[in-house]
Amino acid sequence: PRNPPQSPVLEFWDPPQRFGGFWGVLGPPRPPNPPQISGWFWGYFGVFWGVLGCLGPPRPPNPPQDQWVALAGGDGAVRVLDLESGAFTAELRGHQDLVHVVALREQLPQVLSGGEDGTVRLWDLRTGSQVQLIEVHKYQECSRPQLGKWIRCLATESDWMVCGGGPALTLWHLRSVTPTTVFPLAPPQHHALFHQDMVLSGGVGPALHLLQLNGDVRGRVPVSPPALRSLCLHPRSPEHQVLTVGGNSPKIDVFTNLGYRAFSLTFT
Amino acid sequence: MAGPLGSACSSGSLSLPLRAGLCCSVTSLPGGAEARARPAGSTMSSESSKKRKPKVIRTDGVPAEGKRGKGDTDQDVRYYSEESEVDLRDPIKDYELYRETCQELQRLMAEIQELKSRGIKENASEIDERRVQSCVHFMTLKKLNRLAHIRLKKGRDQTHEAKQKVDAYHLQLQNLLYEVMHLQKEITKCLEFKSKHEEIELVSLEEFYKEAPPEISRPAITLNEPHQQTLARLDWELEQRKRLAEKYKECLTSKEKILKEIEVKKEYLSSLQPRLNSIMQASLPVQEYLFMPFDQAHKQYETARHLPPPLYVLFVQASAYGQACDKKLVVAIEGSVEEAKALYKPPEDSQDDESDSDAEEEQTTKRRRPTLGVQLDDKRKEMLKRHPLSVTLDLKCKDENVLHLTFYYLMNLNVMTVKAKVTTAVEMTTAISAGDLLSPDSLLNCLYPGDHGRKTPNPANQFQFDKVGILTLSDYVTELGHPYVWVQKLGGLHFPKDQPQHTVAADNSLSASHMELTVKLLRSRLQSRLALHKQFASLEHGVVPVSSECQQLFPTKIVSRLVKWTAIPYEDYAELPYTKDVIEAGLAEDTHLYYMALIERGTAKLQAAVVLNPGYSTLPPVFSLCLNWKGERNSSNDDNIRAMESEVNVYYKELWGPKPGYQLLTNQLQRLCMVLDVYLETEPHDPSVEGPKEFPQEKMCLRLVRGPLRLKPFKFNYPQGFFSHR
Repeated sequence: PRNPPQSPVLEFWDPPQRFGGFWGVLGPPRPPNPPQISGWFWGYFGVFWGVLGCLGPPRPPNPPQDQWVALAGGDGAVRVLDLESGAFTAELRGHQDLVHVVALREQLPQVLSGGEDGTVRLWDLRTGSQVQLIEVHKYQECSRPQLGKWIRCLATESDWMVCGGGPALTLWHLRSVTPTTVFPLAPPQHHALFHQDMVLSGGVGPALHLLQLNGDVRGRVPVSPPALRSLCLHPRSPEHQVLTVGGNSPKIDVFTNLGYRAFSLTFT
Repeated sequence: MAGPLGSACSSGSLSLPLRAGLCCSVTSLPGGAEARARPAGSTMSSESSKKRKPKVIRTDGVPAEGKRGKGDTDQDVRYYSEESEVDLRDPIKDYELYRETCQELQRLMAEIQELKSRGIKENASEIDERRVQSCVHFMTLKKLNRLAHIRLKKGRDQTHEAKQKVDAYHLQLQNLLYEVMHLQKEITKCLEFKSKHEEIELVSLEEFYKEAPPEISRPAITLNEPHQQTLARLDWELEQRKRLAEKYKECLTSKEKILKEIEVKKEYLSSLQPRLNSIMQASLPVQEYLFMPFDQAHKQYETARHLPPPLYVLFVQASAYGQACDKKLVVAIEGSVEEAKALYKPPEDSQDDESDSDAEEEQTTKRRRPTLGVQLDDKRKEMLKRHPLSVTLDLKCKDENVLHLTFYYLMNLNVMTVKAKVTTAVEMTTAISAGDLLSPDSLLNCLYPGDHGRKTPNPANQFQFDKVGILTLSDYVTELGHPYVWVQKLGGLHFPKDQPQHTVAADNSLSASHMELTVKLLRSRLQSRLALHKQFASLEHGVVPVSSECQQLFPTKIVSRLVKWTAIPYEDYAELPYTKDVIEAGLAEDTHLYYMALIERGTAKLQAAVVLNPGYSTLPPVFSLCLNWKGERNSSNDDNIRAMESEVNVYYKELWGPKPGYQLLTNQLQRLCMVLDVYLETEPHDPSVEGPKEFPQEKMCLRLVRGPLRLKPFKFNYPQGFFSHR
């Protein structure tokens, strides 16, 4: 919100399967050094090097013992950071401009990344090379040239992908690389999630959108921040459904029922 | 009765002195005899009266006054033989004779009577015989009578003599007794006589014998005789007293002399005072020449004595501070000293006044009843009364602008208030929007954070206000001045929050500890306001004045222009939709100043609502932006607008400029123009719209977007002149 990037920006991640809570703090840029990323989880403290960019949710790769993070870089590279050693294991270059968002595919060792240049690229983690390139802005259904071509939000579930930003929020089928549904949301979306049979998304405008996969807007839940930047679900237990959203406001909204806001957390 | 009396007198007249008594006794005897014999002797009485008539001539009777003198002379010659006979005869025998004679006479009278009753002619000779016998008896009786009288007289004489002797003795006795008594009295008097000498305290005997010279004390004689001793002592006493009396006279004279000397010296001294005054007067020009106005200071201190304690503390501390640290601070006292003196009249006067005023009040209530409102009004005025004296502080600044502060003391409420006024060295063209900047009401607002000066700082005042129906002091501040908390502190009055104290007294140390900071704040406040005043004048003409030191903050070419600068009221500001965050954050209150700036470039119009904190420039103004260009964009729907706001609101420290940083506002406005330029120029070209971009990119930017928020490069780098992200 009003806090300049000089102070840390918090992004919450849902706790991965293996380890407990983990969240990352984007540290301030300290010229000439690139900005720091500090990460903690309950077990121990560790400070990692990183680059400015969005942090993707860590998912344990095939061997559950491996713990790593995929980082979207402001310089256009996607990096893979090993949490135990604190070193970058891979660097995936290809984007022309800064990378906004990364997403991991569950079954395959692949990483999707979306960036300012308007492309969504698929990367293979084993080979470290680009597998596929989707230029979203070139598709008529979803492109909105007046807003730009940048891809800000990206989420994937099995064969499906949802992405949006400058272009409209669209549901893609990855195998066929076709946009199946374009969600009728006017403002650019900043974050999207797959949840059960819905897509949750938030962006410019004080609303959390509940979207059905066929393109219907199931609901618009008002939230405190005037614009949403990040949504986070606690997906594990079906009886405790908690969603937290944050945006450009000092408040973090907590939802126990996706229909309405339960309460807000404020920084004092 | 003249007849029988005369006859009796003639028959029985004797010596002179016994005439009256004798006449009486004589009358009684013959009177009785006559009484018996009257019916029978009426002729005889007439005869006897005839007979006695010549005797009457001889013996003067008592009733015959004219004949008395003759009788007296006759009596002197007369001498009775009975006088010698009386000594010889025996009175008892005389008494027997008398009885016999009386009996004979009775018998004869009875015979006469008898004879007369038988017949007159036969018994005439017997009657005559008896008559003659009775006459003889009468003669005997007469003699006896005389004898009796003479005896009586003699007896009386003797008694009288004896009595007289006795009387004489008695008299003597009386005299003697009287004398005795007198003498006794005298004796007792003498014995009781307390001579004055006993009242005199004499020196004790030992001392006397020690000190007195021998010719007075004469111990040989005096030791033996107490009388002489006392006399000697008295003599000594007398001498001593005479000596002392002389000494006393001498002392008196010397005292008189000394008194006269004292008088002379006093006069001399009193004549000195006016001379000193004239010297002081004469030295005034010298004082002025040397810039040492002692006289003026002295006069001020004189009036300062009549100040109430908080004003006095303020005066003292401000003068001290001015002398020690700040030559441009001038302290003075204004107001009427007489009124101040009148406030502290002695109680008797005030009692008189009270009784007078009571009488007056009664009168007025009888004549006209004042309405409740008028009464309340009077009570309010009384409660809000100011002390007649006030302290003025004049703060001069380097550029010759002066801030005049006048401090008043509200006596009943025990708070101080201040009124402010600014006089500028140069006549300032008043910009329309700058109207409130220097207004006395708001000039000193929030000198310290939160110090609005609307509420009275003394919690006890609330109870006083309730009594007279005053809601809050803020209704009266225009007239009375503002009761800021720093004003109370300067006067040494400290009111602990929300706890009414009994009496809060003025405290010097409290005043001293706040003086320096407050004066500095006042100066900076004045100068910041004056700077703003000048800036506003320029802003209203559409020119953002940027000083040479601040030129490096901005590129040389900025196309966006400020077209409008106005002051807006708080209500208008609150109604704007894009100012809600600022209000919620508590940064915009009704005591702040609000302005609207309009920056234009081409078709783009940027509205900036500015809230100016009274604590400018330490506390920066806060801008809220709304861009009208292809839709309305503000901080809630456009991250770049938020970034622009943060450029001026958050990074204000870069924009302070040279100390003391009064150029903050103008630099902020200039920066707004700059970032608007960047914003408009770095908008991505919309291919759907035909034609070139409205705003070709002229600014040099490294990257157009960065970060998840995709912000534009708003930071200007000097001297390279390009824009980058922070």
